Amino acid sequence: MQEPTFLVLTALLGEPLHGYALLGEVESVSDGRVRLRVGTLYAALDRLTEEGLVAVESEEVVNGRLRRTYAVTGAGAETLAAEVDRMTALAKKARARLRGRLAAGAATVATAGAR
Amino acid sequence: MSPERRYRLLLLSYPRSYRAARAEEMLDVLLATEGRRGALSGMPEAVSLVGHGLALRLSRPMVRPAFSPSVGLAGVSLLCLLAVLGAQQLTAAGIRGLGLDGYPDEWRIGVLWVDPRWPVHALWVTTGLALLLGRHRPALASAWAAAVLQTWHLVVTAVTSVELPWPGDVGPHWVAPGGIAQGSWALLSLSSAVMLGGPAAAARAHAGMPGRRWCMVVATGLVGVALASVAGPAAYALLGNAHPQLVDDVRGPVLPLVLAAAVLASGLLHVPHGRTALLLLGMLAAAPLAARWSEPVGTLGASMVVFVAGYAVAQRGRRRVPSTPGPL
Repeated sequence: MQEPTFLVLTALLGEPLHGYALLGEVESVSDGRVRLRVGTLYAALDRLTEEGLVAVESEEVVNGRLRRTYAVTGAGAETLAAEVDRMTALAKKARARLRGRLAAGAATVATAGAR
Repeated sequence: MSPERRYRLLLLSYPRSYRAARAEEMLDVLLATEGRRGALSGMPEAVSLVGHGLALRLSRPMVRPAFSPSVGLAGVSLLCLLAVLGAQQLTAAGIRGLGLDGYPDEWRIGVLWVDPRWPVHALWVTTGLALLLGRHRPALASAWAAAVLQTWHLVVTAVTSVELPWPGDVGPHWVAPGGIAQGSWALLSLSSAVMLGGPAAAARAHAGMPGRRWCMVVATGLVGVALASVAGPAAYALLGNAHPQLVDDVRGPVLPLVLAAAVLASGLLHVPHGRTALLLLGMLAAAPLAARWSEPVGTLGASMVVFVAGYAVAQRGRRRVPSTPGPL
């Protein structure tokens, strides 16, 4: 799953959002690290709605323009949960290896200091 | 330029159907985010929009112009008539080759045993049979093979002037008849293959008239072939060498084609889109008729104009592109 897709799904978990609010929520979820472009956002929404992971919750006309509100579907929540599990498992492995490497590095430093 | 106008221009990179469903919504978000973006972030946004728009255009299947039902009907009709023509040519060549027609040897110039066009005729017959049997994919392949082969004949004839070499050529070289006449048949062969569209379109076109009626068209044409095979020698016996062209016409494809066309027309008049198909067939028939009696270059030009005009008329009812994108 690509990062914009992951972030959009995560952002929509709280409540249904329209496009502009979704951009802000993605930025908030990523702690300001990711600011999605509008083109990227709608490409992700297209893909997600096509796969049935996101659905249009409601439509309203604001200032003469159609505004759609999107929500995560049950399938979307399940897919996100699976992705989170996968990423968590990967993170655990990475952390374990990092611990090993850091421990080995500390031992090397200690040996060098003893000499 | 106002931001709205600028964004509308950028959104033109998206497919029309997508814009119809999404443009206003995207524009709303773009204008709402305009304020919080810095002055320098306009370009990446523009690049992103154009990139996604073009990617969407490329990733979507091309919306091909739909063949209107009348064009498909005309295509199947034309192929049935070409099948009758092919059967007549093969029969005439066989009878001539076996010397059963009683004609003098000088007449060999018309139909020779070694006529290299026989594969084209055989392919026309194959196409007709495949269509009648509902085998639309082989029919399409056969129709295109005939069109390509006949075009190749045409090119070789033009390059070699009069003689058309062929691997199966075991007798005297076949003298190619007027190139423009062959050109008109090649045009019809090519047109019929194009008008058939794909296998699905061919199946729809075939279903446009009852299968029994298509069989009747071809069967009537074959009866005409049998009659012409008998009528030719009879006319020669009656008229002798006094009217060779008339005798040639009697034994030729005129009778089979007229009979088949009559049955075809009576069927097309009673099915939806049949009248337009009939109009198209009439336009296409102008090509070989004009090729026989008029100036070559003018005939080619006229037949092309007729075909293009007929195709344009038939495409008036072409299918509309869906106005909403798939995901919605």
